[in-house]
Amino acid sequence: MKRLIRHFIFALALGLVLSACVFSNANVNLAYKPVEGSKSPLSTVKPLKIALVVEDQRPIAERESIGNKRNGYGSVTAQVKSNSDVLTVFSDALKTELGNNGHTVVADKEPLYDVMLRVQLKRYWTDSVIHFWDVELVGTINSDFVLGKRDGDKPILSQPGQGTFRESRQFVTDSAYENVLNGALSEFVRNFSRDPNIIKALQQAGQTATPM
Amino acid sequence: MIHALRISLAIIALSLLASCTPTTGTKIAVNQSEISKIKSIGVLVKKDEDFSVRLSREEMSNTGAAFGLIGVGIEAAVRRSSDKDKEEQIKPSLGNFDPQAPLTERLRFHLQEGAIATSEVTDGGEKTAADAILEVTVRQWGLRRCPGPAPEVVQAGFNVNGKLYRASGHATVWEREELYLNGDCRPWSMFRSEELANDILPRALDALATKLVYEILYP
Repeated sequence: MKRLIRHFIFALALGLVLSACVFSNANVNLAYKPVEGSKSPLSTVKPLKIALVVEDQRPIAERESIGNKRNGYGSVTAQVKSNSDVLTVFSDALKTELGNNGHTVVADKEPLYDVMLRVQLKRYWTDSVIHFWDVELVGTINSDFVLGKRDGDKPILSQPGQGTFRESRQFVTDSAYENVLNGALSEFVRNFSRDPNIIKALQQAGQTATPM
Repeated sequence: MIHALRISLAIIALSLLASCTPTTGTKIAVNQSEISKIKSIGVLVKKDEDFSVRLSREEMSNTGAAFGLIGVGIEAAVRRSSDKDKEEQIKPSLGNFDPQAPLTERLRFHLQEGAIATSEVTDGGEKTAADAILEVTVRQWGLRRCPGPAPEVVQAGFNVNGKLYRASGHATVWEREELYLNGDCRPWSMFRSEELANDILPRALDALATKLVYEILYP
């Protein structure tokens, strides 16, 4: 009997220790890791001076954190927080990709740019969905791209962009949130740099650009 | 008793091994030197399922989970049924549209633009003279929920698995799970028109084909 009680107390304590993780926020390191030496179709566009403007248009409720932590019953128990500024990480990722493909990113205040790329960030979020066998962790980044010769001109292109990364897991640890969010950022940048409409619009802008 | 313990351990080990499985993105990245050796590609497009609407299913709320695994199952079934109703209302405007032929044609077109000779192959591709086979399996296609607070708004979407393998030996040199969403978000009822089959889906397939070819040519 004593042995049974000891086992019960041990199981209870273990359960409490494990479930405690669910109630504390996950602090993650967001980062974009480009593939070394990799070029995208952006490199086929004549080198441009691009004024990159990134605007935060996420819902107010989604600016303090970047995801939900849930318990086994699907209830939100804590938040996923970024250790760094989300907008800076996001903007730097796009700058890196444009730079790696031969383009120069300049400030929008600089008068001599060839094209202005306005990126309106709509969502940067991770959440989980509980399925019968597993927990699906989803990282999502949504934005709108507006590409034009000058601010205020009729845009050459205006379309949404997205990056989604999904992982199926049996156990969700804090590093899992970091993994799906960074996966979503990689997918977002990959989709941006391989989007036929964006490539076409940049080529169009390049035709009338001033030589560098 | 020991037998039961072994089975339990095996189940735990299996679940640990199965944990952390990415279901999107590049699974095998193509090697630049490998792709430069491929001068001709046979294109094979397969389809797992027919047109579907994924609106309610994409809104899985975790409410069901509050009632355990059975609750998850019930919620999924209710949402599937809701999507099925919309599917049935949209299907007549699709006519005979099938993504296989247009996707094959667009993939061949964009590969040829990339200076790669192409041919169409039938299942398996054993008889092809091409260096490699590009096998694209359309896992799911149709209309998918758009992000954002607006309810009942969908866009054209294709969830495909792309695989490039050597014609001889079938060694896979590239594999990717691609979720292509065209971003043209409208209330689902607006897709009950011929524009879906005549314009929206063909344009989305062209963009998907370009994206897949870019993924191969620019690893």
